[in-house]
Amino acid sequence: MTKKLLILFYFLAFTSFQKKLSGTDLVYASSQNKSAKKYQASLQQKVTAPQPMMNIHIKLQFEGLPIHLNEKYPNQYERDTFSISKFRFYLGRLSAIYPDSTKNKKNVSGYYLIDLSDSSSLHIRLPVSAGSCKGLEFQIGIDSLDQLQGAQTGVLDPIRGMFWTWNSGYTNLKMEGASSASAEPAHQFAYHIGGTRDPYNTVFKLDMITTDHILTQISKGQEVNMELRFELALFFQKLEPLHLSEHPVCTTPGDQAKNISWAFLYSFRDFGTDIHP
Amino acid sequence: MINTPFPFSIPKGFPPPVYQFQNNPRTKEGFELGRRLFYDGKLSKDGNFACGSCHQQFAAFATYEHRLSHGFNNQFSFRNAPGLFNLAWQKELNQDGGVNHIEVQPLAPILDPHEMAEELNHVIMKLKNDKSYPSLFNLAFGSPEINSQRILKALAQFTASLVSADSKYDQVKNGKAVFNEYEKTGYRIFQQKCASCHKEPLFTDGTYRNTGMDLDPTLNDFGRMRITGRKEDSLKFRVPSLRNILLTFPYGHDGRFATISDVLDHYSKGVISTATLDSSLKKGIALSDNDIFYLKAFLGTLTDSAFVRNPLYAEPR
Repeated sequence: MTKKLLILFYFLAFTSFQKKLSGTDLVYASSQNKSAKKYQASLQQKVTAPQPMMNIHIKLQFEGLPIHLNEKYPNQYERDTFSISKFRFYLGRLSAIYPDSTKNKKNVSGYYLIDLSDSSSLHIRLPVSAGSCKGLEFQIGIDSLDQLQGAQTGVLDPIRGMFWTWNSGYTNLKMEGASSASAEPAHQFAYHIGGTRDPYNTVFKLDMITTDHILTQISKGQEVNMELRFELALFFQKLEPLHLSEHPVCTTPGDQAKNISWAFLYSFRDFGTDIHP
Repeated sequence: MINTPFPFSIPKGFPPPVYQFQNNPRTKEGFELGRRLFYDGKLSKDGNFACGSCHQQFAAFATYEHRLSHGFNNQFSFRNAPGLFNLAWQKELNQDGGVNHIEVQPLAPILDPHEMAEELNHVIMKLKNDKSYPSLFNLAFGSPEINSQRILKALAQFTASLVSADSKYDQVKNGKAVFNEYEKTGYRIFQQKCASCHKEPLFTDGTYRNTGMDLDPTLNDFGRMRITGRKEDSLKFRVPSLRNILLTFPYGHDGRFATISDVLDHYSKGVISTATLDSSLKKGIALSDNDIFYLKAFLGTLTDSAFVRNPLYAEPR
């Protein structure tokens, strides 16, 4: 079951520019799964009647700067450092939100596997409707119904290492690394977060909406660029009641996974001024 | 594409199966590929542990006479290997119901470091480098491509096809045989004392129950609770089918009962009361020595000799 929450969003980094669709843009479309294939097919048709597109650039950041694998970052809550060796998550069911609600949910995306080690995974092209767009809806993780479909390919291929074999289902998120605060072997920490069974459902939707309820005007044939920012420092701030030293490992569904899942979701925001002093 | 349709027939009196080969139409070529994969050690790390090495046809696809099965590098499996039959009717797989779809079940033993201990990309690589698999995948799926989805779908074509519905019990139900007096008495006792959980015709109601087996601290297997995280599910395991029961000893999720007599003794005088004990077992099940004698006669009628000898399910030559 997917629960939905609403968060007020101060501002989204958002630019828009006029650009006609060309053949190379079609190739660029990052289609990785079945629904994305359908969407690629729909793109082919739109060459004659260009559909507005939103290019979503996912920025995985620590204090506003790109995260690099295996680099040391300060963890102010534990007075130590940590590094990230693996960082993957499923982002999906993306759709633009409009004040005119009849336009909502017309173009809902499939799933994308965002992987810090694969920069091509950090860009998503989302067909959108023309109109004044006020935000973006998305979820982290795979809908429970989509987890019951047997053997899958593409981003849902179990070979991607995001499938739990002993308790069928996809992890929403895998974050692994090292922190001297962790007493585990080699000071590792590992968060494999998932689970869709109540009361430990971890798959949530998030509506990111601008306070003034107008993000940008999108017109026919236009492409707009937006950045979706994940702030790792915020994630650790949200996890503060859940110190890395006390909980370096969470690899099963449960209360802790649910808390981490919430913290993760809330770390998607343009944090603007509220992290930096 | 060379595809020979291979229709699946539902035995008389059986409900509609959960798995109906949706998005995986059963074909002769798909089934044969699945059968070959089931018996191929290439799916395991060291080549020694095919699915069929722990799921032996003559034991109704359980591991014959083993409490726990043997896996990679001299290790025991975590649970007693269940018999494999009528899986198409199972909503969830594994004894704790942790697997939600028959197609993804093989991932559990293949990747389990105590069982087949292999990685998926290695399996794919080994099959791609094999001289016959690419053409077998071509026959089954229309192109020689080998990926995890095709491997799993082919395996499901085989495992979901393992139907056991030709025991003496079935023949009696279909008017082709008659119970002798012992079996008839046993069947009456079964209906009174066992059938509410071991529901006909599948001989399981598919629920998870605590049958009063205490926790083995060397295994710490809390059953269904491992999956749901709920205290109420502690020590619950799926009600196993009683079909082919005399072939699948030892019994219990950890194989602690060596014989069927041990199981019946457990129900009559060994049930241990814990918070989640099934309400129907609060006082155990009253079984006299005579009841046990007749019940065993009835349980013998659930052996499906045709199934365990069916060459269709045997290791391909």
